[in-house]
Amino acid sequence: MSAAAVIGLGYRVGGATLLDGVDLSVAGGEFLSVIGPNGAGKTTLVQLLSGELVPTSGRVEIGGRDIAKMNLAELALLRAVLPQHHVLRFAFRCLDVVMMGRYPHGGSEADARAAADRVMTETDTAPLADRLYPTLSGGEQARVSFARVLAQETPLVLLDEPTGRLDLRHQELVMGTLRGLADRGVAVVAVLHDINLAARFVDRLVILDGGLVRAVGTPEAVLRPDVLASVYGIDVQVITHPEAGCPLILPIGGGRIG
Amino acid sequence: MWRIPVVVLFGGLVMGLIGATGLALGMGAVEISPAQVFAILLDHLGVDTATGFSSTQDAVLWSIRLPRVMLGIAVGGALGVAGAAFQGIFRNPLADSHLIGISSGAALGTVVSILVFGGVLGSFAGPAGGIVGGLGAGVTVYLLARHEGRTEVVTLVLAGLAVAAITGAGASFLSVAADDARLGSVLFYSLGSLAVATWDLLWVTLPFVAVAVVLLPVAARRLDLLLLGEREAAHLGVDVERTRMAVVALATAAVGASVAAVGAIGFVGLLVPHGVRLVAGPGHRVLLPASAIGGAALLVLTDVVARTVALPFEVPIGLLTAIIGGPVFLLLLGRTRREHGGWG
Repeated sequence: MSAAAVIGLGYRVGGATLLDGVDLSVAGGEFLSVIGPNGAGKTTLVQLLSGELVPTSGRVEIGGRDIAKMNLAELALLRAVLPQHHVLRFAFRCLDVVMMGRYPHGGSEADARAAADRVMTETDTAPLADRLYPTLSGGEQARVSFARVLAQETPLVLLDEPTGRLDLRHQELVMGTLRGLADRGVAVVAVLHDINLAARFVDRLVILDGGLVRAVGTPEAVLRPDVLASVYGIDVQVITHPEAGCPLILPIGGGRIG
Repeated sequence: MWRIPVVVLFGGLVMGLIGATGLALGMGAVEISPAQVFAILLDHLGVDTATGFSSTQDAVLWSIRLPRVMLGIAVGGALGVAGAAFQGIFRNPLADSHLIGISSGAALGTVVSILVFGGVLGSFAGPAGGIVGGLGAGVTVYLLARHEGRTEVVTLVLAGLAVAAITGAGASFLSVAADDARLGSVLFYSLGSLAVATWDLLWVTLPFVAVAVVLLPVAARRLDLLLLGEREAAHLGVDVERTRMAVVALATAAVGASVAAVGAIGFVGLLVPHGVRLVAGPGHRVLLPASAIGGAALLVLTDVVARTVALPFEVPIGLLTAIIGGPVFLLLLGRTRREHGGWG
């Protein structure tokens, strides 16, 4: 059974169609990445999957159940969400922020503390534990928020650009952590902009463009020059990564208009 | 990063409140020693003591100072806890019931209610009108500041300013035009005074404050999560709309009843929670009760100053809270800018 599935999913707002007839599913243990140009509908897809937006057509199922029939507390035990932007401006310690991820489980303070310590070690955020969140850099805030999402320990994890503001080492660390989650049976869905980064870690890629799914499959199957040229409007060469063996995209033509 | 232990914080605040209460009961035109204070209180409980006191001292303490101090504790607690709650729910450390128009709305509601329903509702006309007026102002400001699912900080403060100006002017105009003895002076609603305190006034105010002080901490964890962002809180299972409605209703009821009783006293709801956050962090499980105790201590202490600094005259208490609160507010703005670039 799939961990999450969207069936005929569509979202319209103010006369614009942001997502149209999307069918997708992700299984437990699978790392799926959503890529595509700006405005393709990637964030909208994550927001619909998380239940934050209500679809104007179709439905979202998590664990085989329509999320429209679930309450927020149930959903919080099934899926965790890392949004693109972080708005916390109050001076919580990072440890407190990560412990907030344990709220849906309702356990004791000690349980929350233990889980937070575990994920902060795993995500290399333990040295930040006593720092005040608003005083961190953007990238550090993103990493602490990532740790908070992991602390929620849900069978489905949704992330909107988890590597967007991270340095090279922490991009690798986050992707490696997500790969590890998937290997332990968690379903991971991440919106990513760095196609080459995605190609090295994920099981399947979904290319969205103009609210439609343009391609789904393994990186090898999806990352073809013709597909990328039509979606991104640039010419690319696809070679094989000398170490990882996965596809590696090299842009060779400048951006075209029209 | 330095933070004081929770036990020390609460110990200090409770001792501060006890100290302020002792000062307030003993100080004034009629001096009453601490021993006499105890003797009079015990006498009213039917316990005789060796300490002597005059019947004037007894009357001053039991009928004037004690209800006044108790009302100060109730109102200060209400302003402190409500300030902390508003700041949490609006995710804005500057959201004080004064600043976002709720106090002035409550003043207008109180005046209208006393004039229109005074005969029917009796002494509950004030608190009822205060709560309705406060809610009306709060909801108006909130809806004006909402945009695409976010609460805009600048719009919130500006809308609050406008609503406060309009409702404050309305309350002042009505109290002048109606010339009704039940309303008190024009200055009363804009600056506040605890001089009106009686046992009856305490009993109609206290229930609304007590409900807020007891129930708001139930939402403490949810308020913490709301500070992460409304989306993030919802992702963690918090029903954001329900929490917001409950918290705003409880905090507004406490502020509305307080304004109806003693007028609109500013800055307590801003200063106290900010001070607590500075030494103990923003977590609401500590912040809400600590702000209630701290607000009570601050208001009782300020009231002692208000009624003794210029004997035999009384300085309006709202004037004193503004004198302290204004500069601290400016420091708060400066600090916020230094730390994370201000509030845009």
